[in-house]
Amino acid sequence: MLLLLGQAAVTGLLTGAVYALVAVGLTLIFGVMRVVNFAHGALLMLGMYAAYWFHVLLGVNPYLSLPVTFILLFALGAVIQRGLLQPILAAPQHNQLLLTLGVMLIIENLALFLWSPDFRTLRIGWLEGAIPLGALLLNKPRLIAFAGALVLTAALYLFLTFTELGRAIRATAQDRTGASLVGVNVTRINTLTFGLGAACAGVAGALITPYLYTAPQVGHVFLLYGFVVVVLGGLGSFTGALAGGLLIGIGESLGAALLPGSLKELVVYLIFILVLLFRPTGLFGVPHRG
Amino acid sequence: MVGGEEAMSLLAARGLVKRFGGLVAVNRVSLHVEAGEIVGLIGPNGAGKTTVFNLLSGFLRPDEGSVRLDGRELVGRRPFEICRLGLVRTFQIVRPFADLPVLRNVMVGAWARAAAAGTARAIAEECLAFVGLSDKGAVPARDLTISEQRRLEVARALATRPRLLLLDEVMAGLNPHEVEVMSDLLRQLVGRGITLLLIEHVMRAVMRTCHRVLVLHHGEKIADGPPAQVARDRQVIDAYLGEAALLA
Amino acid sequence: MGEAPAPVRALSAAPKIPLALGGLVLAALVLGAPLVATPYLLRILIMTFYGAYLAQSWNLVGGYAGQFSFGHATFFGLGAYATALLFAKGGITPWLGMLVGAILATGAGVFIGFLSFRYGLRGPYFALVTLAFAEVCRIAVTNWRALGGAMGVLIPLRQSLGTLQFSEPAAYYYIIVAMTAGISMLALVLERSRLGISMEAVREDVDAAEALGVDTTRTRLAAMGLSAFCTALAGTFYVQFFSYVDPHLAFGIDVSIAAILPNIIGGTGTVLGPLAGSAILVPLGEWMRAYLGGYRGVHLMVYGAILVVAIVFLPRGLVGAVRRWWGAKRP
Repeated sequence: MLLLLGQAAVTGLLTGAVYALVAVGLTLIFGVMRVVNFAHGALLMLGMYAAYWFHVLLGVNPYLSLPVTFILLFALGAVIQRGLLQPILAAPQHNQLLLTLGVMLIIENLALFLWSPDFRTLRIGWLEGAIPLGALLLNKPRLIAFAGALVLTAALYLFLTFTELGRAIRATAQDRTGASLVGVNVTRINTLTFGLGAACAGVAGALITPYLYTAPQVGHVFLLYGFVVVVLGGLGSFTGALAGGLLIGIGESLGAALLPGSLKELVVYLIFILVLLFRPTGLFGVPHRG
Repeated sequence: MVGGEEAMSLLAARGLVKRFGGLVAVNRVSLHVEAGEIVGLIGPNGAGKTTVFNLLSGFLRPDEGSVRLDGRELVGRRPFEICRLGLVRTFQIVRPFADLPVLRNVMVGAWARAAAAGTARAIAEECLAFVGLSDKGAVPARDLTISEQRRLEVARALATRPRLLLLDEVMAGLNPHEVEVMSDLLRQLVGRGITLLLIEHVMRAVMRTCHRVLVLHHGEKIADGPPAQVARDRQVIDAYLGEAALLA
Repeated sequence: MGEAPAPVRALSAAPKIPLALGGLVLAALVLGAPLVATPYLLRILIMTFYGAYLAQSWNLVGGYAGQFSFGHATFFGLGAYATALLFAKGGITPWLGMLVGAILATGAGVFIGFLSFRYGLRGPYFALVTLAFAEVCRIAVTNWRALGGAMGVLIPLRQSLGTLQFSEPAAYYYIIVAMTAGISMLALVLERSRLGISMEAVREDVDAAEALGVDTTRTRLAAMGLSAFCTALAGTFYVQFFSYVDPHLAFGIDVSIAAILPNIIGGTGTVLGPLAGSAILVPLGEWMRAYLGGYRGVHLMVYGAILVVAIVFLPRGLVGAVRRWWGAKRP
């Protein structure tokens, strides 16, 4: 039993890093633009298909497609932001939420139209099997996804902390008016941020393609979990999203080991509701301005 | 402590304290307002004036102290209850219901007293007429000029039939002529039996309109008296420093 | 959004007679439709009114009171499941089931509202917490075998007035027309009432409303309860019409979106908005399903595109755009 739970916890931790990467993108977008991005799951799904088709059509190692996925999704995110979201940023918040919902519907159903609802899976010989760690087993593609997600999250963190542009993003998140007063081009920061958020979602998608099925609506779960993680960590908080992601990953995995059926999801949502109600600023107490 | 005189006050606040984190925004402030008075609340930026308004009107709960309206304790009540008891405040930054027509804006306040739609409408129309906005009733509030929006705020508050009106910088952003109009309006309010407590930055208006002036500095009350006396107060002049000339 | 009666009255003073005449013609058309419509057309009409009813229910809290619920599936599902389960498992008439469902939904609405407003959840937080409640319901029902689990509930066919099942689609048509007319009347009455004006004030500015003596918590709870009650009845209608319900159909996010979308296209916080929105969206959707049905996903793609276009170009919906155009035409 203990071994089973240990195994579940480790698997959950590995998955949690992916949730964290998804959530980091969401939280970045919310932090800078106050937009709840419903298209985030759809962007992740596009990342999955990118990795899938790269492998199937070109025979490329799916991990080698990561940079391409990053660039493609970044561009798509930037276009969505500049073309659709930017003009309505002054409108009521729910209009932006609905706009991203519309974008989600378009992307998902375009995928459905182009690639059918079939579940697709990649089978890659050298990724089969697991690496033993004591009595526990580390599934290879999950381990790679874990490492990849952590590396990108860390890179993003360094970018935000130590570069001029990154500091401009954080300044904008803290105080839009102030940032524009000191010469930050807020519109450009918005576009850049949405691009980065989309790229994070896309890369997360590409990382999980080798061990998960790919389908047009696969993004829903990640979107909803992303919301949970982001709220858990405090909307707009980077480190909160990371910690929250790992926590939800482990919680979900333990829930799955202990509870029948899809009740593990119930656990996740109950945590979500409780946190929203009792600590809407997140478990880690990062203050926000609503 | 409770003298017979203060027990009769329309509004009596004692020992109000409000802390934000380590910062003491309002420190042991006591004040009273008598029925029929126009009292000005002045002080440099960040002196805690708006915080005092928030404490009196129930938007913030004081850490210590009490607020009584006609002897009834207000601390612990929600703003809408306090409004229905007769104390209404306006906001420093005008907050019209932007999408609603002007008349409907005022009707929101009128419903605090009215029992039927007809009554509410009649009250609202009367209040609009009072502030001179009768012909704007159907216009969305967002389309009003800043001066009209300020008057709309007064009309809305008036429609709740207040006994004590807390006005937070109703003169801000108005040109000299509009200030005159507003000052007139305020004097007429008193004529209707409404007592006024106002935060104001336009000193000329304060000095000419108010019967009594309270001065806040760093969250503490440093002066309380007739305008002429307060203007000569050493502490007040020091507090304002560069702004002292304005008081003359 | 939320125009007062005043300007409308001023407008309608002159063309009152043509307006009344137009209303009569419209009423005659609506009531006479089943006599001439093909079964297919009648079905589309039923779905249009059903969509309008559902959207108007959401409009009460989302439009008028400005509390952007993203989880109306909770209330819809409670109505649908209460009706379906009581009838299928207990043989209890849907007349009672619908009441049980509506009361449960009202309770849920007030409960969710109470928790949210008490902790000051606004905007996206409120949207997310309502969404989460709906998802909790969906997952719970999916895993609860006594409630039919993932398979859902099939309603035994027994046509009679007592079972609210009819052989003639026209019966469903008249029912949903009556429901839509009823809820639209309710919205009109609300616009002129104290509760309605308080709801609009809360939508515009909670603090300013509170300062003017509006009990903003009670106002929002009342709006939630009322909206939830009406939404549950839509769930009952759905079950009676389709004789089947499952966790996704009842509590899925699609239901919540269906409740919101016509409002966005038509204009939130107006009586006509959800009606106009549904009159456009539903026939369009049905038409696309019929002619583009072979292309999977296309009709939802078009829905998404319409949503995006509407938000970018018609931020106040069709009703708002027409009003602005009308206002610009006048001197």
